[in-house]
Amino acid sequence: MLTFAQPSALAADGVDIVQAHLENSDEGYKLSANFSFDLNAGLEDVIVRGVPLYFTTEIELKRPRWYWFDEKTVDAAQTVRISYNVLTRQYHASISGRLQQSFNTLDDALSLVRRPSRWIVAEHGALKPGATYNIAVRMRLDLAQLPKPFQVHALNNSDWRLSSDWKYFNFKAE
Amino acid sequence: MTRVLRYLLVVGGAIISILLFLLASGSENSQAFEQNYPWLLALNALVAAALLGLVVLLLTRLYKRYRRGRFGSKLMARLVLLFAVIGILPGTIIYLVSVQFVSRSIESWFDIRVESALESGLNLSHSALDASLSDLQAKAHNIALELSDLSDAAQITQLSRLRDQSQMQEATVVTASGRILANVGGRLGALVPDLPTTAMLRQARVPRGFSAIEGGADFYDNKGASDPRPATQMAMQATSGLDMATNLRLRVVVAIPPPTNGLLLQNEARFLQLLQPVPTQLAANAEALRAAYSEYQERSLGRSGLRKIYIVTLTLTLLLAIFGAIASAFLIASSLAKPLLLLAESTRAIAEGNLSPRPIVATSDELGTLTQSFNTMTRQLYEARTAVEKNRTELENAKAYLESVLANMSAGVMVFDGQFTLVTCNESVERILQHDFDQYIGKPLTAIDGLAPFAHAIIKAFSEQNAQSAAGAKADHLHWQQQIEIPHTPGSADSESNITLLARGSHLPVASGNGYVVVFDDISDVISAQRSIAWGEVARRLAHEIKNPLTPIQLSAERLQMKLDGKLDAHDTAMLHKGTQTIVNQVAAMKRMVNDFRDYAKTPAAVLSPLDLNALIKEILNLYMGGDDNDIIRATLTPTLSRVMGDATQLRQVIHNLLQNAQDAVTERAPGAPPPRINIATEEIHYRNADGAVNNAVRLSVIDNGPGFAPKILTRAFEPYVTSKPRGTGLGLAMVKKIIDEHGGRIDIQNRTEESGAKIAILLLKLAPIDF
Repeated sequence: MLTFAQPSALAADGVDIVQAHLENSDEGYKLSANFSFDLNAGLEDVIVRGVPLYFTTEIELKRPRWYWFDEKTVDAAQTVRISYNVLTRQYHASISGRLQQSFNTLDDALSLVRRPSRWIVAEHGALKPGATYNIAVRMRLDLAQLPKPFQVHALNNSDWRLSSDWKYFNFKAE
Repeated sequence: MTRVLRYLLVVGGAIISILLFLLASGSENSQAFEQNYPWLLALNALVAAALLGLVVLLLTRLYKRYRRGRFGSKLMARLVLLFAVIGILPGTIIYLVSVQFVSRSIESWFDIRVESALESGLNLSHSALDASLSDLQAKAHNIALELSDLSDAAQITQLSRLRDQSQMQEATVVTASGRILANVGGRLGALVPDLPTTAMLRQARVPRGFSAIEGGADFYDNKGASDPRPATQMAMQATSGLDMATNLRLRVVVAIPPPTNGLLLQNEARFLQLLQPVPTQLAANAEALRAAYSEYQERSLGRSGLRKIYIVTLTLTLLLAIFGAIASAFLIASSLAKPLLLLAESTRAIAEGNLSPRPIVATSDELGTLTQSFNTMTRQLYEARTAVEKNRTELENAKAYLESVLANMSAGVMVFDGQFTLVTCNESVERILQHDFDQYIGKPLTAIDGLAPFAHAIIKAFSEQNAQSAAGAKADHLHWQQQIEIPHTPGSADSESNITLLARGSHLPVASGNGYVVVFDDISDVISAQRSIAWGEVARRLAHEIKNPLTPIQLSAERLQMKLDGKLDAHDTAMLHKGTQTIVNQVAAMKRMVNDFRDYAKTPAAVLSPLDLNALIKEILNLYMGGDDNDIIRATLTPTLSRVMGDATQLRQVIHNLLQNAQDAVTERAPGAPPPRINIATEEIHYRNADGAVNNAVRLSVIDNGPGFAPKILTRAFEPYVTSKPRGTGLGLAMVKKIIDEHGGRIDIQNRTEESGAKIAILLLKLAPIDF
């Protein structure tokens, strides 16, 4: 079991951020990001049994200041909830509790996590034009929203550790 | 155990209690702790680790003290062990039982039969729904066939009729591009009917068409996106509403076959969509089943986590309890052991002689009473010891005072026991008897060399007194007094060198029986003075008696010579001359001697007046010195000599006498001795009189290097008629002594110790008042 689980766990262990950048649109600054990951067998089993999973994308915008700590301009997060209805045999995905979509397969539902639509991170006025911001982006399986037994279970179970490293890049506001 | 540690324990105990309470609360399904649960666990673990560190620290300290054998560490270790065992043992037992209990009970919740029942129920709902779905699908195919040849206008009436027949909720005919051709039974309030998506239409082109069950409670309508409530609770909430059940509906989309008559121009594919809600009862039941299933699955998946939660909580509680127990054990043990250690320490201090008050344990229990009574005892001991010490010091002082009185007494004191064994004697005894008595302490008096006459006299005197008191003598005869003469030098029977002692003896009643005390004084000087006075009296009377017949004798002899001169022949004349001359000479000599005696007896009182002694000496020395190298007299006169009160005539006689004695002495030197020499010296002496004031005196000393005085002469040199000279009257030094006494001075005569010769020193105490 261990030898079998090892490669799949390794493959599914991390989340790769394929690309992430900030776009300036009419409504505001939008995050465009792509992630690449696979759910391991354990997590798939959890989903199929009707337990919802939460995937949270976090973004931080910091403006460096030479005279003091960096100013944390924006600290935003978007959570995608993936659940399975055993009755209708459909997967449901909702973004931050608002948008709801039904899918027939898990991959279709996960595509909402892997390739999320662009979402507004900050209003126009929130960023200072001309200033350069350090941006950090991360996507992870949000354990904090799970029932407590799973949280404790996840403390020493690598199946439940699904998280990307922070991806850092700079952005110059216009 | 320090005070800081105590406060730390109190505060730490409060924190631990709070943390444990939070942990226990967190184990329930309460919202607030759910998110922070790992932090809570970590915090508890941290506190446990800190406690462990504290316990290890305390144990290490105790162990070190134990190894070093420090006082009290054994008691402390034993108490700590006791309390720790009392704390740990029940905790461990409860822990083990709880862990077993929790594991078993959690496993017992999950039963394979319950799971399969739920599984079957779910399958049952599935098949029920699937049956309705295939039913609807069949209907849809039928309707589609009926609709295929109808025109658009006819479709609506036909559709409406068919819908009523089969009790569908909504029936819609749409084109592939999404244009609505006909719609009946739209929901109230919904202007735009629920249209199939393109994906559905694509699927509907296959002969079987598209069919699906839609809705379900999992569509949760969250108002706040940030609300992290778990889905199960949302589902529970949702199922309670009937509208959620109506959400569950069947959707079937089938393609309407193209018209067979071909009259109509139908270039676009048409689709029929039927929507039918699942019956409310079925929907509600199915939903309830689903919710139960989901929940069961969730718990089943999470049971290992749940067990972990309980075990971790219990373990943390156990660790906190154990470490807390050990730490408290230290506290309790120290507070229990402290008074005991204090007492033990005090006992040791008292054994070492330190009786200072000890700190009191301020408790009302037996330990406090114990320390208090211990302190009382210590204080009483201290007081008793102080009193004893004081008495001892007083006794010692009194004894020392008595001893010093005894030691400085001029009289000799000897103490004997009943057998006349010498018990103690003072220093004066040794001085008077000129004997070292230290070696004779504890020996019979008769055994002391040379003191046999003394011993016999004393023993005899005591015997006589005993006899007297036995014969009923008066009570005041408690002591005897006797004059005892003992030879000055042991073995010498010469009575002239005897020491005359006036001894008094009395009984000394002591606890051990009978004892005797003998006090005696050397009264040789007194005897000598009495002899002097007696001699003076004798001399005066004799001189008077003798002098009277001397003149007639001399006159008779002279007349004989005068009358017979020329009447006799030459031979007889010569004989007469010789005879009368002899008589006259002898009478003259006798007269002189008688005069001397008279003078001695009747020395005129000295008339004291200020006098320069140095000048007097110089004047006298002119007579003795020729001023050349043959002079044997050397004068060493202190130039700043105070003037003395003295009678110049008498002092001149004193100096003459002394110088003549010295000259006589140096002529008797043994052959081959060093050249004769006489030194005469004056000097000023400072002394302290009885009341402590400093006084001056003048000393005149005459030193010769002759043979010195014979011992028997030395003791009685100042008595008249004591002389070493063949032709002396022995009155010279007696005269000197008399004159010096008149002057209030002292005279001291001794033989020189370093070489042969004598030294006579005169101390003149009366000095002339200093006039400025």
